[in-house]
Amino acid sequence: MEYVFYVFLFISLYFQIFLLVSFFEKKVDGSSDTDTKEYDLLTTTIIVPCYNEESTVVRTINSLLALDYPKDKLIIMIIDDGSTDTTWQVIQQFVNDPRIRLYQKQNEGSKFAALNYALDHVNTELVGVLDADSWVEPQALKNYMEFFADPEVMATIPSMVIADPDSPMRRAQKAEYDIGLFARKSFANLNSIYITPGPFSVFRKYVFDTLGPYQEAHHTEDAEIALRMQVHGYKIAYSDNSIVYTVGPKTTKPLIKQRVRWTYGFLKNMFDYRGLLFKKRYQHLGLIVLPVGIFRIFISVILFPLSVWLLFVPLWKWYQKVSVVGWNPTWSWNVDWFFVGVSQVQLLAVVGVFISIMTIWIGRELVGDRRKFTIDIFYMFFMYTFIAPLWLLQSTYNALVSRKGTWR
Amino acid sequence: MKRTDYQKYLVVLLITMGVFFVVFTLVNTINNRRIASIEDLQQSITADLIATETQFDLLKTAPCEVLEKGSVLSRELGEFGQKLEFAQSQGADDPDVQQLKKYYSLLQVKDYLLMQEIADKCGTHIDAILYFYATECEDCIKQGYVLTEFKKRYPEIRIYSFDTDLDFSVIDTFAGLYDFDAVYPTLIINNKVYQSFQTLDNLEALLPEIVAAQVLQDRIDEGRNYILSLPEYDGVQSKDIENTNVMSEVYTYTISGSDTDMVLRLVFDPVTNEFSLDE
Repeated sequence: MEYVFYVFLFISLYFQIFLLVSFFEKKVDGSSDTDTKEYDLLTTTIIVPCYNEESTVVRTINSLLALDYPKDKLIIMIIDDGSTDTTWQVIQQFVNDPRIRLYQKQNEGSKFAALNYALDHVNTELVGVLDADSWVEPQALKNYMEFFADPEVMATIPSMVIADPDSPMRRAQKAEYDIGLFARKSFANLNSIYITPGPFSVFRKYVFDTLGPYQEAHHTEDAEIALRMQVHGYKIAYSDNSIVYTVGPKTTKPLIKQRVRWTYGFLKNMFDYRGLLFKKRYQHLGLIVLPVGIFRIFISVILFPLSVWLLFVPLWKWYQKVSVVGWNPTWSWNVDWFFVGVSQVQLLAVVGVFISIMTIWIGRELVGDRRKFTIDIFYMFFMYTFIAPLWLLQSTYNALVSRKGTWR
Repeated sequence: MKRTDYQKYLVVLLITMGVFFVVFTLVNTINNRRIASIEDLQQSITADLIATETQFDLLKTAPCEVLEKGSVLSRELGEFGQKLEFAQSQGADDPDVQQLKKYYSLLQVKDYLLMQEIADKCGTHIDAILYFYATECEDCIKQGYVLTEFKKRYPEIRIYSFDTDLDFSVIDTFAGLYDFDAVYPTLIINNKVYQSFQTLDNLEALLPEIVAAQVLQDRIDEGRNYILSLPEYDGVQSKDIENTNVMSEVYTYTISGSDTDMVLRLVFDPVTNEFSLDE
């Protein structure tokens, strides 16, 4: 049993180091880019699907209107997906802007239908999505053009940042998304991006013309389209200078619900796309990124309770001691080595935590955030220790018995 | 896949193996050190067992002052105990540690009996706590913490602890002397049996003399520090100041100088908790 732990730890650590190495690897075919270079600005449509987003949609649309992009090359399609609140009335204020197109449709219970409805009306070279709870920085779209200059690049994804976290769970997600930036860059270097997230992923229209529209895909259409592109060898790039802000669920319950949907969707999609796994043809994606991605869900269920145990037992002992004799620390520099009790598992856990914190810093560096020790990091470890096992177990169970989570 | 890609898998594998190697080596080194010091411990305990035997022989002839100062065992005993407990918590049921604990228990019994003999012969009183515990006992962990803290506050106390799960006839016989039920933690303080968790306050109430002695000792040390803080005794070393007498609140110290000794009397004011020079 003990050895199983070590195997798990070994694979986790291997993957962490693998991503680190990939991150710093110089791209072999990287052309000597210069910032002053002008790229073609392709005509672009951004689709904003809204379902009861009256409070956030205005900020989203305003950020799109503020994009530093030629007015005649940008179309913003706002799809009211049968909202039951005042979303439709609220978006009427934009009706006079020549870039804005407003559509209203019946709700069909899933986002992919709204996206496909919009895709039917798109006739630009590029088409992107922006969730109505997210907003972009003015340069976000222009920065994409550097990547679309490469005719092989079929989609580009942005740097996602949690904006102004105001609750412990949002702070936890802030640190988590910062790691995500690091991972995204590594995956991009490995040509293994397997998700094109709702906030501001932009595709060539060619993708949908040749591969077909979005699919239901267990409520994770953003993962399915990326996997479909990977199967067909379409390249997905990551533009770290394109920043999109999003908020994330504020409290634990909706967070768990969201993550159950994500993890469930990931597992089901992986089952649908199992042909990608362990195939040399799909390179790093098939050989390591996806298999470890699946594997990590299962080992997390085991490793996280273990780390709770490692953390909790000394804390409980310390608490017991303090409760009977009070807190009177005597600190001495003469550490008697006899009383240093560390196990291999504990030390390896420390190494893992250290690398995690490093990757948070690297992720922040990508978006120009130089803060190091922030409370977010603590919240993130808390979230991953106590809350993540809940959604991992729930979604694994759901995937096994094929119970569908709800979309919202 | 290019050849460089496979090379990367290999390089990462080597790095990861390197990390594992370092971690395992480090833990091994620490464990080896522990094993080495357990072996040292074994030798010390064996030597101390022989020393106790000899002390018993000397008991007949040696004068009391020598005997009372002679036994340094009690101090070492505490350290032995802590190390053994820790070694046991780390290495579950290491037979070496089990064996060592038996020797240790034996040593404690001998030391306790020796102390009793000395007390009888010299007509003095020695405060001791006998502590019997078991592994499956929630309160015993807490009781252990309390006793460790008590020993820290009152170093003069002699604490003898016995693991009743050790399956060692000496412990069974010794426990039989006091005839108590197998309920743990069990404490025997001055021949009275207490079979429940005792807080720090309880212990202090049960052993008022040792508490009073410690308070007095602390006060004497405070007085010494007070003398050191006075400007006219600048340059005097702490070891040159000796307390020679305490009468109610008057503390007499002798300061040994290079040529002559000097006697100084301090008055302690219990209201303000401060010392002053006796005029």
